[in-house]
Amino acid sequence: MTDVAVVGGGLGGCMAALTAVRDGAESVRVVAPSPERYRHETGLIDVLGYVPDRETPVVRLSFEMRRLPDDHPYNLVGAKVVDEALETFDDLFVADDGLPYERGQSDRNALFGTATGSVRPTSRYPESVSAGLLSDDRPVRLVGFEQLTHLGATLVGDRLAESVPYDVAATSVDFPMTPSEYPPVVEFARALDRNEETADGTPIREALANEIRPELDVEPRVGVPAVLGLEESEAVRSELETDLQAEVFEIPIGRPNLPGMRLGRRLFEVLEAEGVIVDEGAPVVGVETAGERIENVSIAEDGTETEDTEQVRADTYVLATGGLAAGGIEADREGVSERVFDCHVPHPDGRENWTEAEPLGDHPFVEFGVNVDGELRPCGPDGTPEYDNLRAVGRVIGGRDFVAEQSTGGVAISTGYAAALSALRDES
Amino acid sequence: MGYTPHILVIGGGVLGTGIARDLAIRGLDVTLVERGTLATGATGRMQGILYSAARFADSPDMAKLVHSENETLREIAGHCIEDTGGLLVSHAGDSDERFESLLEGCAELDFPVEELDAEAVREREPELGGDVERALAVPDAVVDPFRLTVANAKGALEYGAEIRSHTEIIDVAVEDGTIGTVTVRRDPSPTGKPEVDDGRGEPATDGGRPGETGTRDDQRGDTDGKEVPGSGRRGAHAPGGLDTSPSLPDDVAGRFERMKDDSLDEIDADYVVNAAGPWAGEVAGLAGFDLPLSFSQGAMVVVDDCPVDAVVTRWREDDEGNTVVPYGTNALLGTTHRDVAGPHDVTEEGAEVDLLVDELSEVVPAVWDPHALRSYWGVRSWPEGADSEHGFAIYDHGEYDDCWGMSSVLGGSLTTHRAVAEAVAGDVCRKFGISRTCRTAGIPLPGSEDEQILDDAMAEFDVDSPLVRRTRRQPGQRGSETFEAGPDNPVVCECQAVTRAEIQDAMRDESGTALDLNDVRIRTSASMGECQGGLCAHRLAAELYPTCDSETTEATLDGLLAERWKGQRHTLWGEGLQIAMQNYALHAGTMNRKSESTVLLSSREADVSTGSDDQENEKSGMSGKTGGVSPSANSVPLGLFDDGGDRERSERPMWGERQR
Repeated sequence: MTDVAVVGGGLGGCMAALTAVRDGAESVRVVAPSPERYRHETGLIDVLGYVPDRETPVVRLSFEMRRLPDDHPYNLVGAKVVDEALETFDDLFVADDGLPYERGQSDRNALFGTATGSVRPTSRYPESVSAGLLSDDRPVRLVGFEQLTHLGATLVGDRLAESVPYDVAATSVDFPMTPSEYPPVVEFARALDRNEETADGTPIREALANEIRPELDVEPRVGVPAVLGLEESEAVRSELETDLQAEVFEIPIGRPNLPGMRLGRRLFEVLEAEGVIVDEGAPVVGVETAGERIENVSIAEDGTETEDTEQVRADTYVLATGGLAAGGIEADREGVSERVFDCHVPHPDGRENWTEAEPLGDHPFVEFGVNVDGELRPCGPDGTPEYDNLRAVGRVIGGRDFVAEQSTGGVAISTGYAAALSALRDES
Repeated sequence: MGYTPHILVIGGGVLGTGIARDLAIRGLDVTLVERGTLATGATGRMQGILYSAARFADSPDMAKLVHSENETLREIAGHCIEDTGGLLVSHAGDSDERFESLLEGCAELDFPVEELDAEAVREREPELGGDVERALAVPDAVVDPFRLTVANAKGALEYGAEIRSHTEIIDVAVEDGTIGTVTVRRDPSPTGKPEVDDGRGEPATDGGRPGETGTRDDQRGDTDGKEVPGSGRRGAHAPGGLDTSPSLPDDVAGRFERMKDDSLDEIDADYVVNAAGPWAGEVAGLAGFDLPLSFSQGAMVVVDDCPVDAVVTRWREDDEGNTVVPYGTNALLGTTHRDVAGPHDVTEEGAEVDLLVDELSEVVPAVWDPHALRSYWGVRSWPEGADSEHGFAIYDHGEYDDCWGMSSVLGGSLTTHRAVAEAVAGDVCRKFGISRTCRTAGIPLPGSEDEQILDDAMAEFDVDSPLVRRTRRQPGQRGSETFEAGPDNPVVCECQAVTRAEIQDAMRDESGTALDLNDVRIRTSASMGECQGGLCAHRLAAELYPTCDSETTEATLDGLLAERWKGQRHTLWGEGLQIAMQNYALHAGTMNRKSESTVLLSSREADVSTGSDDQENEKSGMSGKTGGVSPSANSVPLGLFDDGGDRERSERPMWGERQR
């Protein structure tokens, strides 16, 4: 018998599992995680970037959270729990050996440049991007790679230069290997991990430094597209920094997003170390309920019910399958549903009401997800919990545009943490 | 030596260009004007089917016309047609009577058709649904309407016609019961393209006198190859409504542009043929006439795979949502018929998309698996009261409005356009007592022998066909080696495997003036795959830089994404909606393109402009700062944010320590 079964393994699901196992649950299981999800994650932990009616980024998080509506997940779990949850995350990863994160001045947002040259607020960030802080007034050199069109360095550099009061210079160099596939993001990272030799026998980290060095002028920091290794990223970056005598930082470039993939890998390492059972890759194929409770979920390797189908029985379940982007919320032409437990997902009638005319408009579909009560239990249309022993975390929760609010990471961490505590309270 | 009448043809669709070609071959002076680029009105927004006569077996006159035109077009325009064949399929429960009468009609008219039983049908098209009982194999085919239209235009050029695109009729004068001067306005810079003939096509001549060969897009007259400064600017046509001339407000810049450009021109033709299709009523309206036209709108859905080889049509009474057209690597689901008041009355609704998917997933269940990429709407027009939407009529304003000098063509179709053009040209010739016969059915269209001629004409008229580009990029075809991905040629759009070299080739046509990503898209098909630009649009934009400044780059990126979104909006469910959400997360989240852009002020600048530091969150809208960054409502003092102060700076390399 499992105490807590977490369905889905994004940031929120992992936080729920970790919190549960650390706070006394004897048996915690993560079922049906999809490592693919982390290819979409930036690896930057946004807590609150924007609040309604203000165009400039939030500076102080705790100050601005007060402006959020009562049904915002932060207010449902309470400011104190949000703080605890973020601290828990910080304790995991700040100064982590494998994947150090920074929290800077933890209650103040940090600003970074994006792959299109915009300025973007975030709260916690991996050390690999930290030298790229825009709220640090030293000059910057961006170096793009000719073979990687994800970062048009000169455009991004010039756009950033328009936004910051110091020099931003930009150039592109050849990445010292011939890609065999496009986009070569993971291929480049693997080669750097293994420090493969280039055609002339130079190790690739050194060869990359040799490409970049002539481009450097007086800038004390150098930004490159985020391809600096997957497993050995700290070693790769540190070797480059030594070779270049400059700080090196990465710029997240969109899918596949290495900083996000690194976070995913590290989270699962931590889960394993804590004794959480992870059923990799086996999707949920069935759910049994009795009255107001979920009795068990069935998982199967190949996604169809066979003799190998395994039933996972747990006291409580955490729904962490993600939103529309991750497939936790699904839509057909008639309506919108939650994939695993078929929880109610409010949505406007008529598909024409799901979108707005502008590509980045305030689309209703962006807010698709389950409604939750104060204990994070998904609720039916009448506002009562669908199941007594089910809680939802992260992006499967709807009702708000967490993307534009730049709060997805903080919401996942806070709800994951809070859901685990709430589940354990129930049990005891 | 006799007098050669000068005919003005209005409308650059397949019909207008067909009429221009016919008249030119008969030896008349012809000028054709088109408001936009060729084939971008009704012609380019239909299903592109060359109909077989069998479909009209119940109306023998139309059937005979379609039969001969189907054969004629195959002879003269085979290079614009893909001979996919067609199947008219009947499901269990569909009216036997209707299918039988189809068979009888074909037999009576002696049309070559082949009846197939269920097994034989499935052998040809394994993806057809289980309900198919029988089918008729008919000589339907897929036409590339863009190439056909350009081939017509090139054919007209070869016989001395003048083709002027981006030229809009703004007035048709009527004097003493006769059509007088027609005033046109040349769009000074339609999509930011260079305005001079670049030598790719026929040499431009001195002012477009009727009868002279000319290919000019414009009437400027400066054909010496020099460009008027600023004339390449996009002006009010910039995507996102952004004016790209930075120093002048929109209206002032516009007025200045017009004065300088002298874009108005007058054409005194002997006769005017109004072939503006669904927009013919607007043209007639300029002369004060009404046209008896009926209109309907039709939706089409593009799906991300092609489950059929032939044009498959379910043969039954209700003809909405009954056709799947193989279109390169995509399939096109069509179509609907909703009466509308005119071309401006088209309303795009998800319900029509649903109807197409519902109906056609019965015919080809596999349309359900590949996801719907996009939808678009076209508008058709036909003479009021005609038996079918395929009918046509010549509306002589001399007869109906007592005004000599203009006829409007009502209706017509892709399949019958040549015959309609023949009728129109014959009618015009009769008016001038000219008795030359039509020769268009016997002269192959340009490019029949050497397709390069048509490729060049496509470039000359700046028309691109998404269908052709895909086939041109097949291995062994022209340009395929240079465009192939390799060490020095990275991929910019993964879905469609479009490389940097291709993007740059598409940009080069523009001679480095203002560029438009939508043009690059049409030329390369970049951003037209599964992600609909989500993963690549910003990367395409970056390729334009620094040829374009960053403002223009950003504006044209917004324009591309808006164009992509318009087509996506009505087909968003399932995987399509999932991808749309991923795109939103990338653009609004990771790249923060939704928020207002933020400008950071240095501590010194912030100190100058603000006083105390409590309420730091309230002081984002300050002003009065000095220095390189312009103050704006989006300025924030950099010092308020996390500066990484907790990190151990002592380990960092010190300034100036770098070794070389």
